[in-house]
Amino acid sequence: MILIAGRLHALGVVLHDVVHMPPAQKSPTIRLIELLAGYPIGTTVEAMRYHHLRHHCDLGLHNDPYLKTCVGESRLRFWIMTLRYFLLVPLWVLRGVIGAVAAYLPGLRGVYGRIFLQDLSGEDLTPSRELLACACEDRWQTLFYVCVGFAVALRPAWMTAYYLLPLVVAGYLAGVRLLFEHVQKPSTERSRRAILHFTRNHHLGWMGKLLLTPHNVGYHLIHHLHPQASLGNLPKIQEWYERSGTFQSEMTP
Amino acid sequence: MQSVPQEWVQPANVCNLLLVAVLDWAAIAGVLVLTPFAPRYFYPA
Repeated sequence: MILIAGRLHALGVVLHDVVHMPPAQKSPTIRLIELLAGYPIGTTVEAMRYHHLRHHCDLGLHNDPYLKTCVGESRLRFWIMTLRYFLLVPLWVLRGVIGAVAAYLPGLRGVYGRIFLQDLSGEDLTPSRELLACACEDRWQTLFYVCVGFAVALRPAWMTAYYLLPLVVAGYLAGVRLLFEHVQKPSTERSRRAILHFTRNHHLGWMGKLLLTPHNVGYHLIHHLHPQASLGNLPKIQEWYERSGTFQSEMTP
Repeated sequence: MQSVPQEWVQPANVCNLLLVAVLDWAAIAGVLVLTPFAPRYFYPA
């Protein structure tokens, strides 16, 4: 089960690379990647782009959707906080349903954006075209989970053991990774220096590749410095920085 | 100051990403068919 969870987590990382590509009309290839790597883990390109790019833009600031200041430097609070990520994928699947309804019901878009897309801007989200695009795409995800529901009805034990449970664990792995890769303390600036202080590389070994940091996403500091760079190139960029001694000189006060 | 080679900071190729996603599914299929945890041992037809 844990091996399947690791690969489902890896699919999320594949979709994450799509999210960082320049926004354009969704090509059939991207739609196919979304079908293979997005819907099965409970997300769409639009939904992931919505919260993930805000995280990059507002890293460590008060409206960074991924910042959990209550964790701070405490290891105990860190591991307690990880438990909430067992709910991550179930909530993402629920997001699909709420989004599908919100696509037709403007009054629901505020709740949908703030709770399910982690929008912390405080703005009125009802007229947001970006949010509406997320809601419309969630209709397809919901259709996917209706099919999953039929499969579960046909083979409940099989689907639970080999898809639903690994999926919940995959969400947990993604949440643990999220907490590892950022310093959970508030920042006050958007700068390269802030990136160097608030992001970390972690779990770069084979166990990491298998479970926690598939497809080089563990080179997280490099990813924040070069968000559009393909994850496949991150190890050699890291090596380049190490050779050039850039980090050492910039980290020195 | 030197900068990172530009060809390294280009976005991913969508065809490569599709291939990676297919390989991840192939790995899942491998676990389901080849390992001692395969469903056929637990849920025989």
